[in-house]
Amino acid sequence: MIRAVRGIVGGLVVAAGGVATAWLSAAPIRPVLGGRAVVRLVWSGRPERIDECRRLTDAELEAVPAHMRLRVKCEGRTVPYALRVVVGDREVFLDTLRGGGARHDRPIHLFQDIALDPGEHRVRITVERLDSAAAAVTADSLPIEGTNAVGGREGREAEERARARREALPPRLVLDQRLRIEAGAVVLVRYDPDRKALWFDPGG
Amino acid sequence: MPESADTNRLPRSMARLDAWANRLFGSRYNPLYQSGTIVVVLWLLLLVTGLWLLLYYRVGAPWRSVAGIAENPWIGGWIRGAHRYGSDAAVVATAVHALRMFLQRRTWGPRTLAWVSGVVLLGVVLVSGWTGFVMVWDWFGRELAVGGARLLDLLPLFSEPIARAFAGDRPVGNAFFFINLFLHVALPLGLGAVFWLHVSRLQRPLLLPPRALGWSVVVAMIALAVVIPAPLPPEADPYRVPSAIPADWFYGFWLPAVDWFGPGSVWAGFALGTIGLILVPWLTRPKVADRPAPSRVDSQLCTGCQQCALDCPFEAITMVTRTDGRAELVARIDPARCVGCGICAASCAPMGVGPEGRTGRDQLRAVEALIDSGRVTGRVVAFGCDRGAAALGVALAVREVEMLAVPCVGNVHTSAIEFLVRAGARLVLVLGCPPRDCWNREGPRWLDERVHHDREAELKARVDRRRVAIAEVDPLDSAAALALMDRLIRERNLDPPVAADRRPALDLECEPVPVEEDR
Ligand code: HEM
Ligand code: SF4
Ligand code: SF4
Repeated sequence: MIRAVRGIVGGLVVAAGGVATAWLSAAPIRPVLGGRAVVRLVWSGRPERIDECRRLTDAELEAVPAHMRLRVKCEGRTVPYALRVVVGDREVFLDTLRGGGARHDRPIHLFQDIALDPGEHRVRITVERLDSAAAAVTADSLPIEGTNAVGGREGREAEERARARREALPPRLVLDQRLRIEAGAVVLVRYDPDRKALWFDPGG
Repeated sequence: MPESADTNRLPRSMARLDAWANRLFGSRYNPLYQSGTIVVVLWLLLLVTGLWLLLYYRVGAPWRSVAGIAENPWIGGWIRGAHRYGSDAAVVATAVHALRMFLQRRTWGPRTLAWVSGVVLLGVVLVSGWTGFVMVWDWFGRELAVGGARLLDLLPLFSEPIARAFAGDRPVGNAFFFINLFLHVALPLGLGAVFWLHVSRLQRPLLLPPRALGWSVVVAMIALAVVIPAPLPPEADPYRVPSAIPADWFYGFWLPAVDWFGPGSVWAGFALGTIGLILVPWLTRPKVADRPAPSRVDSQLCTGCQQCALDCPFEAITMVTRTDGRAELVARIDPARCVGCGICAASCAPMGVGPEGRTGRDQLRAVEALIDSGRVTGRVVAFGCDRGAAALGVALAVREVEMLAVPCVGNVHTSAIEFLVRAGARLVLVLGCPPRDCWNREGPRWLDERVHHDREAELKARVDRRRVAIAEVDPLDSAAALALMDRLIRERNLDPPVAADRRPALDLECEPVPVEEDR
């Protein structure tokens, strides 16, 4: 090949490589949610815990290593919740929410995008406790003994359980509202732990 | 000369691509051959441009600070562009380099460490790029962050899903951008350490391409950045789902798959891909019987000159003290490092080293047999590399060229060339591969130095140089090889020698242990 032609063709090949690189460096991807109207459920909350509690005898307590002694021994589980999203009269999402962690005893963390057509919709979101077990038998109804092997610890344990109960999700949450969502917009559904209520956050 | 099977050739499509690139750029500057060293150049370019960008990047206002850089033609819209296109080109060059190594079967045995560390390098390159794009915190950066988080969230590591951090209910903290920035600096520096491991088994690793090619790569990246400025999509916004996001496919190629097939499938894809790549050295390893034999030293013949240890491209030879009372050192081969290229065989004047069947002595014996069969005197004899020119054997045979296949032209002992010339060969051609593409790294280089520049085990001055030629040929282009042969015969006026020298006496040539050679 003549030198000049070789130079030109070589230059063209390099230029084509450059253009291809630049193109692949900015070629569009189209996310599946792209351009839809998105309701994003994003919140965390503690699932309610149902405990069966019993006070250990002094002898039982002695058998436990000192640093692990709890006067009141509770065995329990956290309850699952049903999450339903209904748009208009169509159920678009149904799921069972459980606490995180292997034993489901951690908070529920929810992050779920639901894509709708842009426009105005009536959106109804319910979170309902699935476990209908009778009110938990808790140790807090048991009389607290003033002094025992672990001193004031029993009181602290009871307080801890009470706090967990206060922070737990209520048995039923409902958010029912008309919403206008533009194409490509996201409206968050968040949980306010103080009011114990769900709310729409359109951001911005 | 032992004939070897043509199992190790490049697929035709790749060989054709090589030939085209050789024609356009010349074999010395062929970017396909230089893909590994081009990655090094790009890495240096990324370090320099990255340091500059670091001066302007703000963890507290990531997108704004990048937008500030992008808008300013003086402080660095083009520097940012070169950084981005450089990182894109690094992925391409790494892939080409890895593909070449794979197709050339430079994957197993002593090369296992280079291969496996190469896979790690590829991973680090991709993760470094991920952190880089996330740093910008534009639409694409957020998409990568969420995609990456969705993958990580499948691992039972965190009780709160990481993806939550990008959901929009709370701002993404500075801590995230700080850690990301730290990784974006640390990973590329760590790349240097892995790279050291990558070439640790090579003697004299070639780290950079020829200067002109290296600078051309740098200039090409800058030119591209000036002509097509790197895009900057709008700032990440968790309250928006754009219908199209300008994405860098070199680093974000897996993102659509997260949407389509779910993060679990993408994990499975990455895991299988990685395991598959890591297993390549074991999957591509030939059967024991088909592996080239490692080199061996005949300690009786070794004079301790150290030349083989100097020439071995894989640091497989060390010099050790002898146990037989002689004062000098003796060469010792580490079979775990020896790829069996036979280059040492040609570096040994007393012919005391080399893989079985391919030592200098073995070569002389094969040449002797050829001379006795009457196929040398008055004819052209060619040595052709198994991986390349030996493929021309059939085409050249039509013109009565005798083709001797060798595993590497660096294996051809100069005494074998001398014997052929002295036995009346019209022309001895050594047809090698382009030096930068030698599968054994340094074969053509040492051959050239032994023939033309007096490197130890040199072609003796008494040999008629007109009758010896070294050439690179395209193994698919027999016409070019024949034309080259004709041109040499014509230009050098190579009539068949009237009378051959005596049939060289092998015993006389090799037998005396040449401690006092006439050098
Ligand atoms: C950052 C990425 C990489 C860089 C900068 C790089 C660079 C290099 C360089 C400069 C050499 C030495 C060339 C020589 O002197 O002969 C080399 C050798 C090698 N590379 Fe890479 N490489 C990279 C990634 C990879 C990958 C991804 C693979 C394969 C998975 C790979 C496989 C190999 C092998 C097997 C060798 C040894 C060749 C031999 O022993 O003949 N490299 N690389
Ligand atoms: S080149 Fe030959 S003589 Fe020299 S050290 Fe190696 S084996 Fe020994
Ligand atoms: S055959 Fe090649 S790798 Fe093995 S010792 Fe000789 S030069 Fe080194």
